Amino acid sequence: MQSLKAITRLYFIHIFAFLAVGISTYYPPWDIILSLLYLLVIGSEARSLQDFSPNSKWLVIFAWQAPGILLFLLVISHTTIWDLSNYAYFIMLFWYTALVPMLSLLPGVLWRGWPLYYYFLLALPFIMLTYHFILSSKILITNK
Amino acid sequence: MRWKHFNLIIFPLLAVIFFLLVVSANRHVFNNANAVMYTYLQSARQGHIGYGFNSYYANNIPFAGLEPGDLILGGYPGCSYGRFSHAGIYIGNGQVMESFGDLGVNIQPVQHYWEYSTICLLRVKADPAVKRKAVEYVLGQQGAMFYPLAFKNGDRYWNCTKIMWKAYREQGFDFDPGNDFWVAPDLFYQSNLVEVIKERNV
Repeated sequence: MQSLKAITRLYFIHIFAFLAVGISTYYPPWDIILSLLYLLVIGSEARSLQDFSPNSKWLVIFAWQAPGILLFLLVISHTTIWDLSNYAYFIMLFWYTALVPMLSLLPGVLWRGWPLYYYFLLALPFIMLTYHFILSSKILITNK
Repeated sequence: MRWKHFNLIIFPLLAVIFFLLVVSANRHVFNNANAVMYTYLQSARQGHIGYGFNSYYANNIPFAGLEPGDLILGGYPGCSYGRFSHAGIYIGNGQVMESFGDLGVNIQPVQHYWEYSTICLLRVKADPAVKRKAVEYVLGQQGAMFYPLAFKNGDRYWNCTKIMWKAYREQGFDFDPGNDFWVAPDLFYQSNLVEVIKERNV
């Protein structure tokens, strides 16, 4: 029940951050400020997992990033049926809209034909897993 | 405990604030029945979403005679935002500059436009110097980020039409006099700033 509540909170925050950041791209650089705020809020949610058992913690973190991981797998599968990989990449861009402003700050360098943001977007599910895991770790508790 | 409430409230609140700001600054777009968002919503009601049914349609239109700064529009059947789904600007030497999902703002061989079922080549009614500057502008954005719903404001997000619109806007040619949120590829076709060189449907 505790895990379900934590997962629901993360999805609620993520979906409304998607809306807020998406609309705020109309007023740059507000999108960057909101994206940073998103990282802070998610970080604060991660800290609240510190008292969870390791299994519950991993359940929450993976459940939260499950759509991102699924989309990542679809993209790298290079499935041409119904242009699935292509659409998966588009959906991934939308799904990570809250972090897109961070990606837009990367230099326009190409590597093996793709821009840097392409690789970072594909890595985002795992970057966010790591970010969440580190902040939810008890090692970070200093003044408790 | 207060932070727990803050985390849940802050983004819905910001979404509402920014939405109201955008709406109040763009009432003309919401009142325009031809705005891209209404075209998209109308298509969605008919079951069309995205850029349509892509395949290799082999339109085989000849590209001989294209000049740097010319515009190329391509479309698949069932595209949700108009007759054309994609656009690029010819930069010479058989190459076209465009913006697409995983590749960002990038250079492609012009022949890849043969895959579309509908294609149109447009010439902008401008001096060669203006077109050269427009080409220089797009070349300067290579590797920049693609975002499907890139608003016209700002220079960090691009889609295929925004890059072309901005390149010519910088030279004083505005392909979107209605000042919509987004520029649909069809707007270039309908503009009196261009002439149709060739078009083909297969």
